[in-house]
Amino acid sequence: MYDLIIIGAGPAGITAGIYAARKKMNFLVITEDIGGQAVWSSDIQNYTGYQFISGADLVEKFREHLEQFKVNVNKNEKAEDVIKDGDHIIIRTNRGKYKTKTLIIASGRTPKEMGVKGEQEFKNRGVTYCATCDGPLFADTDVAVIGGGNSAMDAALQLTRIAGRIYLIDIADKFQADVVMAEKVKNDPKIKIFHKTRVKKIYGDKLVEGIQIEEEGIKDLPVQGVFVEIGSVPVSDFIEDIKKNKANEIIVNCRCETSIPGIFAAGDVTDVFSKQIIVACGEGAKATLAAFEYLNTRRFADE
Amino acid sequence: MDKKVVIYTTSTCPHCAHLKEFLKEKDIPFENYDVSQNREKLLEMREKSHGLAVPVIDIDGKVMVGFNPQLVSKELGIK
Repeated sequence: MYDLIIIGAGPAGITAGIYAARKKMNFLVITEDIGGQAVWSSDIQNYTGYQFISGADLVEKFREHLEQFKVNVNKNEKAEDVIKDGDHIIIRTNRGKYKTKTLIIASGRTPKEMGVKGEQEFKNRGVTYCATCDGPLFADTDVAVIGGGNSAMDAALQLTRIAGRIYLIDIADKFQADVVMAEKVKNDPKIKIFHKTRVKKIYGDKLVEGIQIEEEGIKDLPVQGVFVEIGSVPVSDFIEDIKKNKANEIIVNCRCETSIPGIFAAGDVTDVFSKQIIVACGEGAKATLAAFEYLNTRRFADE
Repeated sequence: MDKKVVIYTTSTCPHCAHLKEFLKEKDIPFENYDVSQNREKLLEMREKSHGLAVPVIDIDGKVMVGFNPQLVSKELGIK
């Protein structure tokens, strides 16, 4: 039986792990990948101590920091079910079953889909959710980026170095992104911006050939790539009997406690205000400290 | 185990990095092509996968798009 299991190894999960290692807790990290969404970000300018760093580089530093301790990390493993049984917690994954006294859920978020015609059909055939991964495949072609937040700005700006013309399609009348990024986008001659515009459908034959948008009538935009950057949804479906808000985020208090004693949650999977890397790190630290205190103030039935 | 493994990746793609790390950890030899640098291999990848997304993994002719450790392990016959 473990003292602690951490699900997820993004900024929140890795920081929780560092704190647990320093407390010499007997713990395990179960995760599908290292870094979570942070890896996709190409340009981070608001993580204290770094005026500029890429997501991949920052995650590499997180990983090095965690791996200086002897830590058990089960990669490529996905939590499928969590139940509380008496005073311990049972986690079932695609590879096994684990028992722990405390749990930190730091499973983060996954990209949201548009739900328009053609999106499923052309997934991986021109429709992509990762500009960092697939961007280089669209050299010198025209592309559309869908969204108006930071990740859409980031994708559009990355693509200016690769693609031909970039159409940025935003449903709102102004960008939600940080002003600095939005300004960069507005000033880039390769990017054409459409506000208050909906994507009606994605069309093509074997690969994407264009999108249809609704902007003072219906209009076709010939593009080979469609980068969907309209936000994300929390990865919280593997646990059912826990309180969540309408957005499916796990509700936590300021000690990262959830509605189930012994189960804590941290970072973007929770209803914490503002989804930022630095906030997720702070939440991960808090979650481990709260779990540590929980362990020390309770007696557990025999193991 | 002498299945031929060819992977198509880009240098900036985190899933591609995971895939390479996974194959190295399991001691599986593979050929890797960075399709952002190699137009010819990009076309070959498009041909094989009928798509535009990385990573593409070709294990003895069985082509997969995206890195799913379970499916890759199954195809390689490893645990």
